[in-house]
Amino acid sequence: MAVRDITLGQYFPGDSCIHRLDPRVKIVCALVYLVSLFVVRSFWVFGLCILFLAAVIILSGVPFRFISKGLKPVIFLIIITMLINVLFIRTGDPVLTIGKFYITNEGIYRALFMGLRLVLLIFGSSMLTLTTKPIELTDGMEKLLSPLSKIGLPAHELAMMMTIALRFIPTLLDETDKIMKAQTARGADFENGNLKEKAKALIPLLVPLFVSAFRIAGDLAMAMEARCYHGGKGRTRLHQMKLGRVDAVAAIVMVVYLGCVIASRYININIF
Amino acid sequence: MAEDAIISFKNVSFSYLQEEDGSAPVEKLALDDVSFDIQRGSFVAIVGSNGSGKSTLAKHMNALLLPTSGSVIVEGIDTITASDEAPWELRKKIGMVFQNPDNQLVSSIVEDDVAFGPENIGMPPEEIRKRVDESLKMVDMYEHRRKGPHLLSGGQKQRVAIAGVIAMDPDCVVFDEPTAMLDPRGRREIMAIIRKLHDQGDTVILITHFMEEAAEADRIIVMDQGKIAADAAPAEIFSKEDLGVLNVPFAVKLSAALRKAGFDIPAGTVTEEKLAEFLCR
Amino acid sequence: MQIKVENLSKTFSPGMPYETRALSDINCEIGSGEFVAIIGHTGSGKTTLVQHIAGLVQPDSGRVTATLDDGTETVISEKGKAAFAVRRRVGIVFQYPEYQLFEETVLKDVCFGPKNQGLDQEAQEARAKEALRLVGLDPDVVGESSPFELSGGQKRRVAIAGVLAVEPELLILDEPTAGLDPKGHDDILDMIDRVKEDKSLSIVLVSHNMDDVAAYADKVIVMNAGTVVMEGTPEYVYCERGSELKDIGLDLPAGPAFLERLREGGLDVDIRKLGFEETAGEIVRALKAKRGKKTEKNAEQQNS
Repeated sequence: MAVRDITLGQYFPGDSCIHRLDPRVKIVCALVYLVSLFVVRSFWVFGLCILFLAAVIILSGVPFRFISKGLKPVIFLIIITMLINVLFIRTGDPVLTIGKFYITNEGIYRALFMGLRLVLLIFGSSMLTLTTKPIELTDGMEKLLSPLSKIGLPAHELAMMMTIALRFIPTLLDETDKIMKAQTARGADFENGNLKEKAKALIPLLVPLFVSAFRIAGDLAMAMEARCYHGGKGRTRLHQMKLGRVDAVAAIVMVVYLGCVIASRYININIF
Repeated sequence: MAEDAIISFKNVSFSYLQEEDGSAPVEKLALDDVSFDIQRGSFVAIVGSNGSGKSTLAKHMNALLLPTSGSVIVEGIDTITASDEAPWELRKKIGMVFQNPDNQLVSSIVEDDVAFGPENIGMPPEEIRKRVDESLKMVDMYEHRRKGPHLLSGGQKQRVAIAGVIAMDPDCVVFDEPTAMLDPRGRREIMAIIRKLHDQGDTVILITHFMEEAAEADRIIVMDQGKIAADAAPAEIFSKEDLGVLNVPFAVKLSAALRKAGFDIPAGTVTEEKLAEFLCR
Repeated sequence: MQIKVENLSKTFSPGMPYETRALSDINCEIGSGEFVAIIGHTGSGKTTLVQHIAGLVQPDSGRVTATLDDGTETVISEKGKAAFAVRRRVGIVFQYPEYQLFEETVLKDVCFGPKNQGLDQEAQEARAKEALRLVGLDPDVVGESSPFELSGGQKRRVAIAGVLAVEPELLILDEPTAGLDPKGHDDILDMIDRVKEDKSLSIVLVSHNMDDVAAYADKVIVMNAGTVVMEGTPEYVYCERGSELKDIGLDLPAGPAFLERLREGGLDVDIRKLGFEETAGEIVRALKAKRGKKTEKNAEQQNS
């Protein structure tokens, strides 16, 4: 797998109403959605979350197979979480017994519940990054956090750090790929051997990578200074953020959605 | 200082400490008593081998480095004073484009990157929009304005970097080996923009290893071990037999061969364009 | 060692919005002891092709076969021990190879390849020292210094030595002179040519510099948009098919490029000259012919 196949945190260009939402609204909505996933107590409410997410995906026009690729790097994590639930939850009625070992219906229920929650979590956060330009994302964060700069939170600096990190992820991935290939050509083996050997084999990759990162950082700092950067003071922005009608609609939808999810906790419809 | 000099170096020396394995740090002299003026609106090439002090020289022009002794005067202001108060006031007048196209772009969207400089100097948003669009059109990258830099070629990235500098509307642009990492197509594109800038009346300073590029300048400064080894018009620089580490442009080499064969090629024919024009007459 | 590339195709990120067909149906050969240059625009597939030859990338279809001097053929584009063993005889120097240096000392860094081949300490160092001498560095002077303290040109030599220490039979160099000053550029190319003769290596040089290619290569492979569009001697590529080369936007070496300019300007020159002397000679010939015509014309005018 080429390192560039990772989609998590990538922007999918488009001009849908989801794309056009104010990044601040989108960030808050995403947070509300993520919180809502932890409020949910039963499967049927997840139906509501899925419905909501599906509506967002359809509106955004991002192809589903593209979104599902974001799952690839974490699928292992999800499976482990589910296995832990299946194997270690001892309450409920045993449904499968092999000798001393048994699994319960509650275990299966919890595993599916957790798995679904994680998948919805990843899809939801992918939707934020897929429909928002990284720069809008960081701008939105900066604006949302700026009231906190009064109590000493470096909102501008944090946003700038994120902007730069996002900008240089592809560069550093390419660099990693190149160094790995170059050392492989000299006979380095990154795949075989025990843990200690593997860790040792990483030195020829990590040292040049750090050297590169420092070189890039030095070059970039120089270039930023040459382009008059002197912190957030007195800085204007190309993109002015303005709240529009779509944003108002989104806010209302979000409030209604959250209301429904919270209400569901108090309404008892138990299918299982 | 001459009346119309935009940048003026007066006995500038620059030294730094270099630590060597085990031994005490040694003082290295990167610039050694360098003096010259850059005329407003001129096109000056600075050449010399790696480590001759070219880049160090360039970084003195916008106060990225300050002289250890002597002084650098930019637009009538000493860079030491400027850097104490607001170095960005000076840097918006003297733009700088660096060698590595990847390592000087800040944002993951082309137009936002071009806006970075104007944003830093506090330009009003409408003005930034106008400057960004104009600059991108000038370097012919307007249709790529919403792309990410990692989707562009080296030459295209370097054009974006240039747009980012000219969006601040500088009086002078210093190019520090802008074509060193590019392929021939990228190099041609960058040289075309440099010519265009010069034709518009901007002062252009080009540091390069490619003598064909240097030959296009009005004046060439040759650096060697921190000193100015020569400072003259291209014709005069290339007329010398021994150029040390520099190689002779093809047109100069060919002119010499043709002169030997008995053809009267005028002195000062240093670009292929000029030579071809003469030969076809 | 001889390399044969057959019907090689490769697509990166298939099914993604930025899917790129890097190579499509590539066929070419690298003869034993040959100096082959690969030219083409950035993104034309040059680097991807040489990475396939070095066995660093698996093709989607097609294959790369190596024939050793004793006649044994091995498909090196497949996985497996036999392919791995033969692939070791292919060395590749990447663009800006100095960015891969990582050890505390120059000697240790150059030893990295031999060490991975399983040689003992003594043999490793012997190889490393020889490789350093080959690239024109004195192991007794630079051997114990940190590779990060050297000058740019020296770093690059150390990196090339690191590949030579593996004792390859085919050495691939991807733009080995990028970013160097004119002297560094010439030094590296002369060094490569010398090493090729000393060690009777085959060389594959990926380059944008047509003058270097014309001066050093026995054979030129021209790539465009992931395909091989031409293959032949520099004379064939630059002189016979120069106009096609220009059609895909590639440069000619300085000589033919200038002759073409003169022809466009109306001077009657034969543009099929490659070296500097030949170019100059052709211009002299054409100028004399033109002068002759002029005097003839003047004479005619006087007569009539």
